[in-house]
Amino acid sequence: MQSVKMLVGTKEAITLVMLFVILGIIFPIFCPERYVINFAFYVLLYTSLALAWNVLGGYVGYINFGSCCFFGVGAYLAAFLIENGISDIWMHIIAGSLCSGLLGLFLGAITLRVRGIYFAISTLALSVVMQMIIINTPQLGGALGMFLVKPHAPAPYPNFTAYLFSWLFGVTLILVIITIYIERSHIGKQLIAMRDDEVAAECIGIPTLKLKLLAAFISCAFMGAVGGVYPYYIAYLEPYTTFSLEFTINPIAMSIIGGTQSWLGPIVGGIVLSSFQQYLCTTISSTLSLLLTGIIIMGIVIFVPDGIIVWLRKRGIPWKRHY
Amino acid sequence: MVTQEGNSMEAPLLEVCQVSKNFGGLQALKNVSFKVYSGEKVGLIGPNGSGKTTMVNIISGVYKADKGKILFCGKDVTKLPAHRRTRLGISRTFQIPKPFTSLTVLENVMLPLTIRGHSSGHNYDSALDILRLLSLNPDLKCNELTLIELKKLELARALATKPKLLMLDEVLAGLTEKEIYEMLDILRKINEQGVTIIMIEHLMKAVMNFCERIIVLSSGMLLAEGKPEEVRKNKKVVEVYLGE
Repeated sequence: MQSVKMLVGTKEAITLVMLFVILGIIFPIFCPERYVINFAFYVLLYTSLALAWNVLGGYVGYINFGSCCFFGVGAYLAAFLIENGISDIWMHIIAGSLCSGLLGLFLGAITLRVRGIYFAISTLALSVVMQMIIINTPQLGGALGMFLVKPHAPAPYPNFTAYLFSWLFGVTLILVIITIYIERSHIGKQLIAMRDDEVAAECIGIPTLKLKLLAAFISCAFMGAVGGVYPYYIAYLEPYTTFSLEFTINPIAMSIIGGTQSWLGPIVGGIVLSSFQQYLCTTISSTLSLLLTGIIIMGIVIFVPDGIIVWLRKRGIPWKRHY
Repeated sequence: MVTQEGNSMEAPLLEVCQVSKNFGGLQALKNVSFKVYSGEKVGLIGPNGSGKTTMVNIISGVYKADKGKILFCGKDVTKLPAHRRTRLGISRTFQIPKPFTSLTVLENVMLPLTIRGHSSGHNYDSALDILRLLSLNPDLKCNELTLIELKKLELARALATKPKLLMLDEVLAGLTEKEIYEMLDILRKINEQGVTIIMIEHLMKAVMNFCERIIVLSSGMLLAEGKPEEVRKNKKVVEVYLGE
């Protein structure tokens, strides 16, 4: 009971519900322009991936270089389900999260036993392997990809992307609640201790391997869940963009820009970087936007190495620290 | 004193049986066996590279032994991971202090207590008790501690796991003489509360004063074992360690 109280006060619970109703349901239903909802969906997609990446990369300090793989597995599983007549979004989300989560758990069980770059390398390798598997599987569209016809949007929603936005918002909100819970519960302190010194943490009684695997499962499962929403949004799923570096590098860059120590970091980083990218993409050019994004990332890493959140806190922006 | 007579009757707290450990081609420990009894103050000494720290790492579970067994309270813990051994009552400090730098001193000491459960109020009180015993300021940040404060923090955190056996890896190294006496006083108090202590140390004077029994390692092998005065007179020990 104590832990539940710690998680959400009544005020916070009301805030979260209000947030979901206003941003997650009312906003997409009454969104005037298709471009705006697409823009918002793009931002939310990357923000949620960054949040998911941060659970393992930020809190525990193990870098996942295969976000695209766990995301892609969720996406392809959803596409496979759609092809086989199962078009319920919640089924895609659950199937994607379970499959990617178990994949992450399996990979973690092999490589997270040892401190070092083994996990990072194996995730990088896995994303290449997974892309090759998809390219060589005609049932999943092979190298040509799969066309997915968007169904009609259910009643109050103006278009299907708006409907998907509500789902993705729900998934992200659950992830935010989980990350806040991790930070405020005793697990959060244990993760901080592990990041500071894993051997010392193990020696004061912290089950480091168990916590690493838990973090890997949560992180990868949510990447898979986000992937589950992706096929209907993109309507054409093919292995080269799904398993592209964009889905791997962006979440890392967003977490680092925002700050990896708190759940707010990836959200701020995600919103800032992805809206910036999208804005430049549509106003200047898609190639130039990459260049400018690169310059911004370099600037932030040099001048604000701890991320925007820490920078703001040092300047007295009164966000409460929970650890 | 008690231990010498009690040896044959009492079951040992810690039993190290025929432990060997290799690092590649280097044999760090060769068939080392010894016993430690409840309430003892044991010194583990030996020249640099004799395998003392490796021994602590194997007992605490940081390394796995290649051969041999570790029994704690009569239970075989050889295959248990370090955190499970800590919960059974094996605790240690590190030669180079490893504080959790993102946390305050109080949080460092609170953490092992929260893992064991209990209410946060109870844990807060126990943490303050430990810090008071070591006269350590709970509000300090870890990056502003002096060497003795860092060593005390190591000790405080190890004590917060409520150990039966406490292994101190060079807890006196680098301290001034005054600080050494202060630390030894604290360690005596801890021992009087029923905590068995294994002390690894280079400072012979301190070890000989503090410990009731000395175990000497040399090149990974058990060289001698006995009361401080016996060990001091032992010819082999004088040869390899004290140097003559």
